[in-house]
Amino acid sequence: MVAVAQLVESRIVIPVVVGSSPISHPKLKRASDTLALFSWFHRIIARTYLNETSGMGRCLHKKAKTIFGCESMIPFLYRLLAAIIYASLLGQPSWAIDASGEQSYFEEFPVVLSASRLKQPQSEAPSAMTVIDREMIVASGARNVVDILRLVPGMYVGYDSGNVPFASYHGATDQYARRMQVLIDGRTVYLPPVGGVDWLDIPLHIGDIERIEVIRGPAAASHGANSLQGVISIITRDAVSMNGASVALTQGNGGISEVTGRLGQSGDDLDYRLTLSNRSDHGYDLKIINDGSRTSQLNLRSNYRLNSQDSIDFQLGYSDGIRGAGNMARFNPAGGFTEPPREIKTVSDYLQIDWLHALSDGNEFKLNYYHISRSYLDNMPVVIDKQGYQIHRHELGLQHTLPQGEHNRLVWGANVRHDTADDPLTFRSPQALNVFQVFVHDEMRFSPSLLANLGAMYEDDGMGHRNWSPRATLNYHVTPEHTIRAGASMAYRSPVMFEQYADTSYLVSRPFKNVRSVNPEKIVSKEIGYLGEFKEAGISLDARIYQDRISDYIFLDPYVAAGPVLTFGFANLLAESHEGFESTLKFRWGERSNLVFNYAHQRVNCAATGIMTLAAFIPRLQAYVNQCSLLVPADSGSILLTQQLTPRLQFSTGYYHQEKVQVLDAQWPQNLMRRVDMRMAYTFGHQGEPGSGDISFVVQNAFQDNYTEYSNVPQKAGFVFNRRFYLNATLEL
Amino acid sequence: MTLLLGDSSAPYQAFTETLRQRLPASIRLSVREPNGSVGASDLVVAVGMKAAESAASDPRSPILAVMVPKSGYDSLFLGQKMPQGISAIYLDQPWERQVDFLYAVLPDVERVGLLYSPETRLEISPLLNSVANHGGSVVAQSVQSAERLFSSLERVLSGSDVLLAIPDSRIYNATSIRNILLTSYRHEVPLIGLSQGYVNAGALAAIFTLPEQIAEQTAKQIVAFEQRRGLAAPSYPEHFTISLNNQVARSLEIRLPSESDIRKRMRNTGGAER
Repeated sequence: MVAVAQLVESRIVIPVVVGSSPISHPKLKRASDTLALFSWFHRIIARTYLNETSGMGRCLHKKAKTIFGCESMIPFLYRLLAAIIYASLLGQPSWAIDASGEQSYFEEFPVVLSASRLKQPQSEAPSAMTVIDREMIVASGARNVVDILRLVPGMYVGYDSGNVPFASYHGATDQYARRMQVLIDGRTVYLPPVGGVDWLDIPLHIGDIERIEVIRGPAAASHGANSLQGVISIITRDAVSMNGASVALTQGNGGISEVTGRLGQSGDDLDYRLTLSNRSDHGYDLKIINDGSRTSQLNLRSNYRLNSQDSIDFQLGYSDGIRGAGNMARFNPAGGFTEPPREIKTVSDYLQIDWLHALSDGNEFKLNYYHISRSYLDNMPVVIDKQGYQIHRHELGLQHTLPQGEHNRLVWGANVRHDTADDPLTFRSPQALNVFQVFVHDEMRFSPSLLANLGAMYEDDGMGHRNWSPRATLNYHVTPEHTIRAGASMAYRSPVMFEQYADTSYLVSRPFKNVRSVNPEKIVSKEIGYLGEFKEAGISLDARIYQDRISDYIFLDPYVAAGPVLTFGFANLLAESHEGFESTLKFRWGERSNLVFNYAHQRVNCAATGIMTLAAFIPRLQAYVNQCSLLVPADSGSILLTQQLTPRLQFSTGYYHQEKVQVLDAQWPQNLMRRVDMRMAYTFGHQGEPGSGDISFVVQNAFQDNYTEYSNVPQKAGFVFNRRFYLNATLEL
Repeated sequence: MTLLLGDSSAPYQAFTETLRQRLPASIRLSVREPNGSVGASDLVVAVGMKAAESAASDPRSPILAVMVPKSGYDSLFLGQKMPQGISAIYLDQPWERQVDFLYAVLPDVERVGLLYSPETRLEISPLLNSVANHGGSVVAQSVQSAERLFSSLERVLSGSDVLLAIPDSRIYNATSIRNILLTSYRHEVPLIGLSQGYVNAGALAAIFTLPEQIAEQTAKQIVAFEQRRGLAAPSYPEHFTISLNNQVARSLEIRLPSESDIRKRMRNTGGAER
């Protein structure tokens, strides 16, 4: 807790001022402020993108062939920034005129905290849920969004290389973790061709996150298909949350560098916030793999109120990245590297418009549209053409919340989605999918202590599969402080485009071409959970046991094509059974100390249930089944301790523990990980006011436990996660 | 009897309608807008501040100002000599009642947050005393300008268990309410509002008196005036309405007592209807 200027006086005599507000010509004043800011941003952008010698915005690996200039983003950023800043001059805040009349009592207000803004309390939620708020995000010291997810019990976080992070709930994945739904403000960000999420590339700044809600367990009924094992729902800060400007700088070892500028303004009927950032690092170890990255991002969120019932939330984001690629450990004696060092160019952007119509009787309509796109260009010179793809997703959705008396609340809605992937090296022709979903969710309160959540989703996945995903949960408050939850649900994961339509049969080695029809994977999940509040002791406990049965698990199915070439297709070949225990204990003592302890114990069993095309490969499948228990770490957990040392000085430390685990497509298992991160932060000035800010120092893997990340790089080469440290300074302007 | 209306909007219409119903047929009401001369009358009932100001400018008749905030009434009439007599039925709740209500809704509150602007004209020592009587303290934060609202909010919210709205439209208005509610919700600090409008917007609860309730009290005073030919001392409204936002309470994991329990608790601490 930061010190609060507590103006507790025995008697506050508030002065009487007759006449107008002391601020004259507020518009002129704000206009000049804004112009000054504009010129400040001008300088920041110039430094970041143009000044090669400053070291902040250099193109990565200048010796490597660069196909894109680093300056390509400037005109776009500039135009956009100028448009926003000048638009902001229009909607300025000003004092209301009359303060002494009775109008304060009769004024009509807009519905601000409408149904979709109110979060469900954990004790009444239909699934186990981990909420990571801003305080925890800051205390963790994480630079990347994906690292925060280590604070979720049962979550695996790994790096295929320094610039390919991924997260997967309940392990058993490869780098394209595709059994979780990932949403940012309701927008799905997993990628249609391969599933998974490119965490580094999403236009999302860690500082813009309000909270992360992780639903542990299937939630198709409320969050759509592909929430097979869980949902990561990232909620970003409202447009109104930033008023003013700030700048932040980070510098650390291993090339860690970041500059972030923020600008925001809340006005009469228009708010906006804008974040510009440029971050880079050298990845793990440039001597072994070329996995540095540089990413420039822009995020804008604005909210416009049409009237007291209607508002429009408008968001857009743009991310422009250069990634190092290539593996120096894979040297081909015949002629150089099999994966030569090179650069990959990625561009991701999105646009989202949410129209909210909220009535004071509790009814709420939400109509939203978004578009995400991503382009990827790997300048690898070995195949016929440059490797690259272009993905687009458009989705239109409607959601209606209708309260039916005090004891029942119904939410229903529908979505249509159009996905396209133009990836000539993976698919013979551009692919397109049209997905349709309709869902309904009802929350019934039978008595103050008994609540039922019933929901279902119907989906047409555009590949010929139509499925119902139902869910039913009972929450029973034994006392108001102690809740028992029991639930069962069923959900599906549709095959990703790659599994169904990949065709790389032009390749001589390991071509993919699917010839069998692949059905969606299906999960049946059961759980019993307990939530307890021990207010006197400052303790809260969230625990559950679960059993998830996944059937029709999609797996590689090799066959011999004309040629004869051994070709890889996919088929529903396995069944997996996950069982386990998960718990989160939170302990707060005094005003200044806070501890979060997460623990997960998991077990997985597999069985071969499908028929392989080639009998010769059955032993391989069986070997996988036999090794299956290693696909999840038996025990894993994390501890986050936050201690306010003085009103201005905060210390926090995180401990992350993960036992041996085998990632699906890694060559070797990943051994025990024990990692300690620490952060010390000093705040200065009056919180939120110009001239205030903080300075923090973060050490990751402080005790240099040389644990290895999941990687296809031979561990013998000494590929470990080294200690990292960085210094961050933030100043409000 | 002259009824001087400050406005023709819904609250004033509701007041007039109820007053007509409650008054005996023998009393004749002449309804006027507060511009031009008021003229002599047995009694001028001025509804709202605008009407009260207009009535004060022509003090030939006794004046009963109703639906006026106490601070507004005091600034107009305090220390003024009104030959024909003057009284009021305030619109706002006495601080004690407001605080008793707050503690009936949220018994565990220790720190009551308060935002005020330099122009706020409120005597808040009764508030500080009432909160102290319940074992709490007031965390007051001044808001220097609309641009500073954000940082003032952050500061007051990080040190408060509840935010108590005051009738200051420089701080609480249709524009700023969004920022205030979203920020306080983020801090998980509930807002106690001043009207049904606040509760609709997202405040946890509010205690207020409806124009209809003021009208009933006004009718009684008019009848008493007719009988005794005199005005009682200015008073706060006798009756009040309680509004609760169960959705917000649930989301903040606050267990709200029922309205009847709240009224019972308020009676026990002495702040209930007299």
